Parts: sequence; structure tokens; C-alpha cells
Amino acid sequence: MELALKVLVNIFAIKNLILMLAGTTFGMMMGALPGLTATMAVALLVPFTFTMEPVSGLITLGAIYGGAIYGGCFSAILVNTPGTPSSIGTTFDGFPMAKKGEGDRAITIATIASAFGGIIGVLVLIFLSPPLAKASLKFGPPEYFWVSIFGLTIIASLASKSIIKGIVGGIFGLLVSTIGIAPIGGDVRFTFGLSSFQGGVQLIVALIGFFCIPELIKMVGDGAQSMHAMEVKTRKGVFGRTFREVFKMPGNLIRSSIIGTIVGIIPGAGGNIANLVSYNEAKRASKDQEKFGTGCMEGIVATEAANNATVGSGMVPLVTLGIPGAPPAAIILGALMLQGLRPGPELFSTHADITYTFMFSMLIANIMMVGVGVLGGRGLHKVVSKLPVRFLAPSIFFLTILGSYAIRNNIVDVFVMLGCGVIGYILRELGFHPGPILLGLILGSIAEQGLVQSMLMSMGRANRWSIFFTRPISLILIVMCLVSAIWPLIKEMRERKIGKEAAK
Amino acid sequence: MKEKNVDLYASILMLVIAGIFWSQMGSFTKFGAIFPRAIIVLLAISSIGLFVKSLLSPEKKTIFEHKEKLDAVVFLVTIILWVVLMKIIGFVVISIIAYFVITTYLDTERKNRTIKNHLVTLGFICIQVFAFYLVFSILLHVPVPHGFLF
Amino acid sequence: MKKTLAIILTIAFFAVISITVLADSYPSKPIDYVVPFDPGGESDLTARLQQKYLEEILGVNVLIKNKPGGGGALGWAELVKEKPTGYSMTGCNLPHTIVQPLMRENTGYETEDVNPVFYFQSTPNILVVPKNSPFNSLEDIINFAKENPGAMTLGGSGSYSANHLGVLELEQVTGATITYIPFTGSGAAIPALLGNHVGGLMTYTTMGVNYKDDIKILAVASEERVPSLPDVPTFIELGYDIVEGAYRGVAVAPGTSAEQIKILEDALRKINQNPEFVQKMNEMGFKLEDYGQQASVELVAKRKEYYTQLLGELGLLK
Repeated sequence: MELALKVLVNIFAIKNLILMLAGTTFGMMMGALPGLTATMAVALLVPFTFTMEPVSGLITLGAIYGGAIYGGCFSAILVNTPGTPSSIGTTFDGFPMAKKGEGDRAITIATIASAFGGIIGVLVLIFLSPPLAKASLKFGPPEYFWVSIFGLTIIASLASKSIIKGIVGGIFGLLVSTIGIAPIGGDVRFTFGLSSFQGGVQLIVALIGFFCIPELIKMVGDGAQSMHAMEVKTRKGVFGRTFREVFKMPGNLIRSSIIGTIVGIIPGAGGNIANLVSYNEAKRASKDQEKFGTGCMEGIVATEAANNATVGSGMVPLVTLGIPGAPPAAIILGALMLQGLRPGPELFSTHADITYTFMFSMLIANIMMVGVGVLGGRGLHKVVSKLPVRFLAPSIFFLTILGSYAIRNNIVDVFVMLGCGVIGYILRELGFHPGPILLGLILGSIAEQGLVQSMLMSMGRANRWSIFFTRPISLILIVMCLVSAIWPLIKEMRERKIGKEAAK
Repeated sequence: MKEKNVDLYASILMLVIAGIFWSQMGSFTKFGAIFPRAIIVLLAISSIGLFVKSLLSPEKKTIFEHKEKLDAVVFLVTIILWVVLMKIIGFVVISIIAYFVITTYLDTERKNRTIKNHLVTLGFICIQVFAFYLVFSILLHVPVPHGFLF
Repeated sequence: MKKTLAIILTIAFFAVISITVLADSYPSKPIDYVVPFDPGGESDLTARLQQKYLEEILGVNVLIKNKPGGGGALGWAELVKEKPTGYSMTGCNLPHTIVQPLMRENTGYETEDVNPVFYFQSTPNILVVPKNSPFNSLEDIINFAKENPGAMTLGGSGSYSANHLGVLELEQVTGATITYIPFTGSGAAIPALLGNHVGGLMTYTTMGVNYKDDIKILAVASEERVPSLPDVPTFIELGYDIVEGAYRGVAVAPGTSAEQIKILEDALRKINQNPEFVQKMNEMGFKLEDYGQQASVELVAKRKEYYTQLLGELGLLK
């Protein structure tokens, strides 16, 4: 009781409320700019929080993290470039919707879904942390290998036209992920004689290159005067109507939030995987799969609810075991340590007031996000749709240079970004979708580490490969992989059958 | 322009990429080589699958075809120069120049514009570039590229 | 709006010009502190702790910039090409800067080009097992590894890191066969340990302090016991002559003037003697070191000779 009172007083202290608001807004801005990620937003603010009290510092960092993951949806929807890898799936339906002149609606949908997913993630963090953290430890290298294979099976739903092309693109992405130092063995691979390639191709840099540059070239080449074909309709009551529409699909909201929560708890997997898996499941569950990719609500709800759910759940292993679930959480762990707080049971006993204030503040921050997001999003939407392409295209390119440089402070990344852009443009012209390529790039290192570490784990055993097929969670994951891989084929066969019957 | 069999081109391109990476395999250690070798083989196999598909039911599509083709080419060349000259000329300066070149070139009414119009545009661009640069580097301490003039 | 911007720009311009004009005493403008690793790691944490004190002592802003990639190699490759202005220093680590050029064909830098200023801390290796592990001593592990060659798995951070080398040394000294499983960082190996996916970890003292409730620490690879883990015996006490760990310091571009290096070295040494800093570092499990410029050069030379010999004996050198 005393604790609850203390937490309440802490949270509703004016100073902390302002920090939550400022953190959310700052995070959103960073997330919206392609190249500036949640990780960077959190890292930038650590020195500032160092001088604050522990509670205020953590509140700020939590708000920034959530805001940044959410902010990625703006650029995904408005210019077809995910602001962070967590919003890759949002481009699939968000951008088509914006192109129809409904960018404000898309942003509102994304905002509500993000807040909902974010709140579910935090509730799980508050109430279910200890048992879930234990469960997350069951994931060893073989399980990570199967998780990555499961991730790859969703290529079929990402590749719009041809499955085989999606597969080729995905494998190409996996190949790109092997550039750089081998995670096991330490070999320098595929650097083509350039020492700068030792660091590999950064996900964010490739993300900007493959999504943004081809889009800019297309934008200029199409000779359009502004980004969105239609005039922005100023409609009253969009928020209220959209709000009701989103909540008319509770199944999608809850399923996506749960997917995000589960993926977030697994250390090493985060919003980048969660949003794509969730998109895939929403599409699979939908009766009308054809409309996915043309600007349907379900797709936006699925990706945005899932990626924000990972924010809260990613901290489950962090607060209970001190294991960061995602890179931004790793920085928050560093901040905790600098403040003299050691993750683990102590956080819930000696420092319970700090811990619970931090967790509950993330709930409030999610609610604030709705207000800030809808207002900010509308403003941004107006700018993007009013600004002529001849200003918009160079402005965006300018930002992509800043973004890709900022990731590692390295000029080489700017060249790699442009290189990926040119390759991405050629590949897009040849009918490849950037989605599967990026998915391959995200999953490549997880797959390789899972595979090789598992082989090392079974060095002393008679059968090298049995480790992949004998562990209980691995078996569950294998079944999931099979179902997910075979499903599109069954669907296609069934459709052909129906098509034939109709032809008769 | 005629529609092309893009699947055919795509499969050949990917086979070439697989070949290039294979030639770079070199002397990797046992565990460093497992994954890339498997991936290259898979890429080759799936590319051959795509090649077969290109013969059976190809995807036909026009490539590199835009309404304003020249605009796209000028834009692409400018952004490449933008990045290449960044270290030599300086990030801020080259950004302003490249931005202005693109904006002016894409301006469909550019022949009717007066010098004053162009100066206003240039001023707008300078302010935007400087504002972003300063906000990023000074306010947010985000690392930004250096060069001549900043 | 435009007016305010114009004013801001003018001020900024003059600020920049005046700084460059007045640059006669060192340091007179902000110093970059490059951390060639991701935020949140051991090098990053130390830098962020030092930042405040550095600013107090040097009287200028110190900006921490993360420049990760290639296990630090990208940062060092850039460091050795920098102009020696004295306004940028880069975190440098042993054994990384020794072993990377030895093991890789094109690292982008040579060990000797990384010009050390001061090595201020180290994290000796520790051997840990999960709390519920059947192994209770180093002896148990070695016996098991001898009876079941390859079945004993030890995780750690990265390939040819201090952790990896520590396992290789343990194999060499005892004659046992152990399988080393590299993870992407010392933090990334912890879930594999707590989930019993590896038999144990060769990790750093910092990890031992952080997760002490969930693990058993069997030995520490330092010459004497470390203050943060007073109950843990050293490998030497247990009869195995193994001293291994990672050293962290800062380096500057080759050709940086001796006066500038001296000023930075003195500042860093002063921080290492600050009681508040010492206490924080000890709490986090770091062992403070005091290798000034000259001592650092000697340390690097000594370790390089040792690693070349070790890797040569194991037949791993190209």
C-alpha cells in the first residue's frame, strides 16, 4: 500500500510527467527519421539521465524507447521508408493507404494500435515477468536457429507476386548478412579487400538503401508534383471514427500484441522480427487476404501493435535477470548499472518504488503517445503532402545521409547506403520486393549463430545433428515452421481448384 | 518500351552474385565457412529455380521505364556525386549545392523563374540544411559527417 | 522565424571562428572520446563514467561517440589514419589490438600504430558455471573434459578474444579438450549459461559481479584475487599458471605531441585515483590498472610476444 502510494506520487510528479512527455516526443522524432533508431535515441540521452535521479532518468529512457519504436511508422506510412526496422511491415499497407490520400487515417490507426500494443507489453512486464523470464531461458542456440527458420517461412506472405522470387530475395539477404567478421571462427568474410567491410552491412543502412533510395528515384521519375496523388482531405472526426474501427477488430489487436510480447521476451529478437511475423499472421487469419498490401487497416494494426508490445516485454528478462531483450534495453541496462541499480530480485525489493514507477510510467507514456502522435503525425503528413517533390526528394536524401552516418559514425556506411540503394533500385525494377531481402538480413546472423553454436554444443556427442530435433521447444518450432511453410502452398492449390471449378 | 522477361535477368544476376561470393570463399575456418557455403549453394539452386520459371511462366514487366526518365537519371547521378564529393568539398557545402541542383532541375517552370526566385529557393535550402545540421550536431550531439566548412 | 534562425547561425559562426582562433592552450575545444564498441558494453560504461571527471579536469566538453564494427577494428583502423590533433581519443583494448592484426589478413591497422595514452582498467577472465551445475570446482571441469573430449562446452564473448584465449590456455596447460562457443558479447552469453545451454562460461569479472546470485564462480585468471570477488581463488592458487583478461585504455593518433599525451594521461590517472570513481568501478567488477604511456607500450609489446608464441604453438597462426 505504501509502495503503491509512493509510486503514484512519483509518477504524477509534474517533473516526471513532463519528462515522459518530452521523452515520448523526442523518441518519436528520432524514430521518424530514417536511420535514427530507438537504440540511438536511448543512447544519446543516457548522459543526460546520468545527472538525474534514478527514477526520472529511467522514466525518460523508457518513454524515449517507446516513442522511437512508434515514431518509425511515420516515415513508413508517409514516404515508404521504415524509420526503424520495427516498422518494415507498416510500409506494406501504410504507404498505399497514404497514397490514396488517407495518410492521416493510417497514422491514427498506427497510433492507436501502437498504444494498445505498448500497454499490453507493459502489463505483461508488470505482472508476468518472473515466469516469462524463466521461459525465455529455454531458448538456446538450436531454438534460435528454428526461430530464424520460422521467420524465413513468412517470406511467402511478404513476396507479393511470386514466391520463388521472394525466396531468392530472402537468400540474397542472408548472403549479405555474412559479410564481415564471422560470429564463430572470427574469419574476415567477403570484404573484397576493403578493411571497412569488417563491420559488415548494418541493418539500418541496408534498410534505408533498399527502401528509401528506390522510392526517391521512382518519385522523381514519375514526375509527380507531390508525394501523395490526392489532396489531403481534411475530415472532421477521423480520430473518433478510426478509433472505433480499430477496436472493431479486437482479435487482430490482441493477437498482434501477444505475438509482439512473445517475440520481445526472447533475447536478441525484437520489433524487427515481431512486426513481420504479426503481419503474416494477420494476413493468414484474414478472410480477405487479397486486400493486404493495398492499404488495408488490418496490416497496419498488426505491425504497429506488435512492435510496441516488444518495448515492454523486451524488459522482462532485463529487470528479472539482467539480460537485455533488445539493443535499446542493453543501453537501459547500462544506465541502471551506472545508477547503481543491479537488475534481479533487488529491483523488486530494495528498489521496488523505482522499478514500479518506471514500469507504470511506461503505461502513461503510451497514453501520451496517442495525443502527441496524432497531432505530430498530422502536421508531418501535411508537410509531406504539400512539399513539392523537388524539395521533398533532396530533403529526404539529406536526412538519409545524416542517418546512415550517425549509426556508427562512419562515412563508409553512407557509401554502403547508396550502394544498397542502387542495387535495391535495380532489384526492384527486376521485380524483387525489399521486404524478403531485409528479412534475410535480419535473420542471417541469428540463423548462423544458432546453427554453428548448436553444432559446437554437440561436439562431444555421437550424433551431431540430433540436437536440432530432440529438444521440446525446438520440436514445437519445427511444427510451426512446417505449418507456416506449407500453408501458402495449400492455399494456392485450393484457390486453383476453386478457380478451375468456376471455369467449368 | 517493350516488356522484358525480368525473371530471366533476375535469375542470371543472382547466379552471378552467387559466383562472385563463391570465388571469395578463400581459406575460411571450418565453422566460419559452414553458413556462407550453404547460403551460396541455396542461392544458386533457387536462382536456377527462378530461371526455370522464367522459361515456363515469366513475369513480364518494363524495366527502368519512368515517365520522366531524364529526371530520374539526373537525380541518381546527383545523389551519387553528393556522396562521393562529400569528403572533398565538405558535407554542408555539397549538400546545399546538390539540393539546389535537384530542386532547380526538377522545377518544371524553371525557364520562367527570375534570379530572385532562385535566390529565395537557395536561401530556403541553406536555412534547411544549416538548421538540420546544427540541430543534429550541436543540440542532439548526433554524429554528423565533417569536411571543409564544418 | 527566419530572423531567429539567422541570429542563431551568426552566433554559431562566430563561436566556431573564435574557438579556432583562440586555440593556443591545450585543450581549448571539445574532445571526442570514441568508443569502438556498441553502447552498453564494458568500454562504453567506463567511458561514460569517466566523462564527467574528464570534463572537470580538462575544462572542456568531452563527447562520447560510439564507432562500433568488426570487434573494434573499424574504430582503430580510423584512429591510425587520423591527423594528430589531440582532440580525439579512442578506447583501445587488449588483446584485441594485438590479436586482430595477427589473425586477420586486412585489419586496417597495425598493433604498434595504436598509440596508447593510458590503460586504466582490466577485467580478468573468470570461469563460471550455473548455480545448479554438477561442477563445483575447476578440478571437476578439467576431469570431465579429459574423460569426455569435446563434451565440455564453455561460452564466451567473441573469437580470439580474451575469453577465447583463456580457454585455449586452459586446454594447453591441462591437456584437456574443451569446446569453446563464441557469443556476440559477454552479455549475450549469459542467457545461454542461465538456461544451461553451455556447461559454463569463460567471462569477465564484471559479469561475475552482476550475476553472482545465479552462478558459481570457480576461478579468476588474475595474479592476485580481485577486490570485487574476494572469495574466488585464482587459477594460480589452484595450480594452473593462467593469467588472462581484457585491458582497456585510450589511444590517440600516431604522431600526437608528447605534451598533449601527457595532459590526457595525467587526467586519466587522476580519475583513477578519485575515490568516488574507484568505488563505482569496483562495484561494477572492474579492476583498476595504472599503465601510463611508457608502461602501456611495454605491456603491449610483452603481450604481443606472448600471444604470438601461444597462437604459434597451437598452430593457429597463418
